[in-house]
Amino acid sequence: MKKWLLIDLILLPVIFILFPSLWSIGAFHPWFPPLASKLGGKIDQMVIYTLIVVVIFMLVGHLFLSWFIVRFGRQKEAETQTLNPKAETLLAVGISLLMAVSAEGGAMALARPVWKKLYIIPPPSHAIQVEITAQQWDWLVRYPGPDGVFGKTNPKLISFMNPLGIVPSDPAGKDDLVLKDEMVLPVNHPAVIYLRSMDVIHSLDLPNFRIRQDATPGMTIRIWFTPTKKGTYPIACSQICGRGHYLMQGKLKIVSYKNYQEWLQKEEKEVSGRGEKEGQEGEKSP
Amino acid sequence: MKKIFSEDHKVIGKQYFFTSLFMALAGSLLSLLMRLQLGWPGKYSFPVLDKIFPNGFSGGVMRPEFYLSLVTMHGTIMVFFFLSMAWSGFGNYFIPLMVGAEDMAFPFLNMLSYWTAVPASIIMLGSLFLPTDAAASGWTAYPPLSAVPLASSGSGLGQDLWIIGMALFIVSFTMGSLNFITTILQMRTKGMTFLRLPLVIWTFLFANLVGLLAFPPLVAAALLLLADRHLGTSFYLPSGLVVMGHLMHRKGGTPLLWEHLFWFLGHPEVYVLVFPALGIAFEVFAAFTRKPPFGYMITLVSFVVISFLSLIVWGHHMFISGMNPYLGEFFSIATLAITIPFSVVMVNLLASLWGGKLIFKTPMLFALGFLSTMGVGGLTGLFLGNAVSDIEMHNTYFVVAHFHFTLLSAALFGVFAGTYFWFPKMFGKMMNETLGKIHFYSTLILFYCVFFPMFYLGFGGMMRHLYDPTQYAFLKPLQPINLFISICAFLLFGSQLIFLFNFFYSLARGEKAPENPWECSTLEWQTSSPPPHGNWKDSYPVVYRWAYDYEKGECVPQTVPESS
Ligand code: HEM
Ligand SMILES: [Cu+2]
Ligand SMILES: [Cu+2]
Repeated sequence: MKKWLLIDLILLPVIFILFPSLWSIGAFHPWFPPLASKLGGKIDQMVIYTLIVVVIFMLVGHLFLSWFIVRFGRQKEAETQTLNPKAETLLAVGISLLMAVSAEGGAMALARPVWKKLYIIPPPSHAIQVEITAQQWDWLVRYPGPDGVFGKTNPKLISFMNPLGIVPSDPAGKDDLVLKDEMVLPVNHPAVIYLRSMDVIHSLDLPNFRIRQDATPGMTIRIWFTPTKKGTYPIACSQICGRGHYLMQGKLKIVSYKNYQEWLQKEEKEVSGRGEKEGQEGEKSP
Repeated sequence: MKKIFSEDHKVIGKQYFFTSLFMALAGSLLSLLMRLQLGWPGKYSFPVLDKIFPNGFSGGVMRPEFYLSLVTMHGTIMVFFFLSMAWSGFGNYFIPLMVGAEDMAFPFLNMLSYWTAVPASIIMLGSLFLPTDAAASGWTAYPPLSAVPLASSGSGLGQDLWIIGMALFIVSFTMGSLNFITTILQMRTKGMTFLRLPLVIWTFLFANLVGLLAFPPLVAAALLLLADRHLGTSFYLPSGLVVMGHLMHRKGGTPLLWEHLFWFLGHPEVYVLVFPALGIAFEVFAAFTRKPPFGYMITLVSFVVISFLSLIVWGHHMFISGMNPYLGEFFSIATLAITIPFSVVMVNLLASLWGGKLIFKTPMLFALGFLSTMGVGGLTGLFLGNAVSDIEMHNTYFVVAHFHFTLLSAALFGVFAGTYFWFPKMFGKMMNETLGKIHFYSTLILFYCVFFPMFYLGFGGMMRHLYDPTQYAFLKPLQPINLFISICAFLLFGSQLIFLFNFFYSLARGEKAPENPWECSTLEWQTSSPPPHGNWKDSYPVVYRWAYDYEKGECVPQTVPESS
């Protein structure tokens, strides 16, 4: 067993220092999906702050562990046989203060304003309004149309042609624009999403915008963000929702405000065109 | 019959222990199947697997539904049927021994508890072979996915079996924990005052108190879920649900109710799993540093605070569920508050090494590994307890990494530390040290290799429960990491075979164990290995001192009178 003592004394500290250090260095690689929203930067800051705190504690802890192993692994006899209540109290109070300041205090100071902005303070009133309804395994995106009002829906009316069950008699619903797995928003303009689900719990995951919000059936949940970069970004589902969970993707295009309006007008024309056609057909049939 | 339906706590302890090892093997094999899929999604087909799971692998390629069943059953089995049950095994065997009793307070209840856990295990395992899938709504079984059979093939018979298996398990756990608590409170031998108890007994007491308070509500919740599934009620189902094009005529319920009820159990459960591992680490450190643990009283107080707080933080799993945002703030503060007593416990554990004479026997190595991995697991919880950073981390592989660093740390390092430590007592044989050390080093290194990179996957945004990450363009660059993890996971499993070999080899051929091979002071070591029927040779032991009296590195058994 003499041979093993040397191996233990070398291997243990090497492992306990090497792996946490390697991990810590790797953790600062830019892993996050490219950032494209305003408040998202604040959320990233929160993560980075926590990362720094965690890395420091983890490395210091493992340094102590390794030091103790080397220092006391060669001991002939234990030094301490009795307790030292004073040292125990001091250490406990010290650690408590340290955690209270870094984990609790620092974190809450950084986090509360962001949380408030995201969930508690109402979003800017000029924000673009979009409704997203999750359904196994698609995202149904609805724009309110020129009147700015979403038409009423009734689950009884849901059909292949009317996936959201928009009530035909409600004038507000006539101009609603419904898309599947596709969303377009203007850059640098706040957007409010009203999130719903038709069947099971899904979770709207917009990795580049640091938005992740469960779509809980029976609720309409409001979330908002301001895109800051043009481009095409993924929409994903991050809540287990059945067989197609891994395929529940969509696309979010961020374009200039001008392009957005042009796009909206074009889509709107199609909607009103379809409405007229439907109307004529309705007249034809007895 | 007498042997099988034994009421002897040592027999029941071993029954629990072997059952949990078997379930661990099953649960690990399920995780290997998942890693097979994640490492090489859609690349190869495995006609062999078609034979074992004709339903799970059509043409040798895993079906997406089956992946979800695998995750669900893996999580459920590992949490409840492996780790919880392993602690039931150790608790049953060692609580009476360490408090100086001849058996549990209620031996019959004890037998009943084990024999309720067995059918629960069989139901769970059996559901994997259903022609319709096993439950596939995650170990958290959120409705409506788990409540509406139309929503998923696993939500048919598989989900019913899952609910019944869980309910039986909780009934069994409740009987067990009543027994543990009563035994610790009432069956202590003469002189065994509370403050003379070894720390591991305290951790079993706190774990079971928390479990007793937190588990039963899930049985109620599960019954409501069954009612929603079969009786047309709507506890969890709101109005207007349209599943697969079918309108459901329910109204008034909300899935949030289940989330609250589930996590009211689910969060305390992780402390139930982690406390005994901490207790074992303190015990092992004392034995292999030849000195008392640092801060016995402060550690106890911290455990009380953690136990209390653990019952009021469940909402940190629901920050983004749509729950009231003010509640989110409350749960965030409460959760971050837990880090304070928890850090105190961890630092006391670390400080227990100070001033000792470290002896690197296998149990000690595993306890050191536990300290490291549990430390990382605990610290990474800071990302998830904070509502704002949780938005970025929730339901990603960061979470998977975090809870494997806590739970698998307790399972691999805690359970193995306990096994190597107590094996001589339980089976009267010594385990092979060299094999033990090889097992330890391979496990530690591979554990880091498997679970450290998962944090990066989480930073990169890879979602949990994902059958095929390569479907997403932004996850494709992360695929080499998945490949690396999968290879290391297979090696990690392989290195556990060293343990299995060592276990059975030592059982058959091991050196005979003396009464007190590690020279410990606690009561279980003051009787023969294994202890006789009734535990004590002629009369109950009488305790004169606390669990950690050391004089010049020599421990003084608790049974030695003060004056001598
Ligand atoms: C043999 C080592 C293990 C490996 C390689 C492993 C791997 C995995 C993988 C790949 C997942 C699926 C992640 C996903 O797709 O979302 C998972 C989930 C999970 N594992 Fe493990 N695991 C291991 C041991 C354990 C142990 C010992 C425990 C607990 C005591 C555990 C608890 C869980 C839980 C609770 C889940 C989540 C299940 C769910 O989301 O429904 N695992 N594990
Ligand atoms: Cu989904
Ligand atoms: Cu929790």
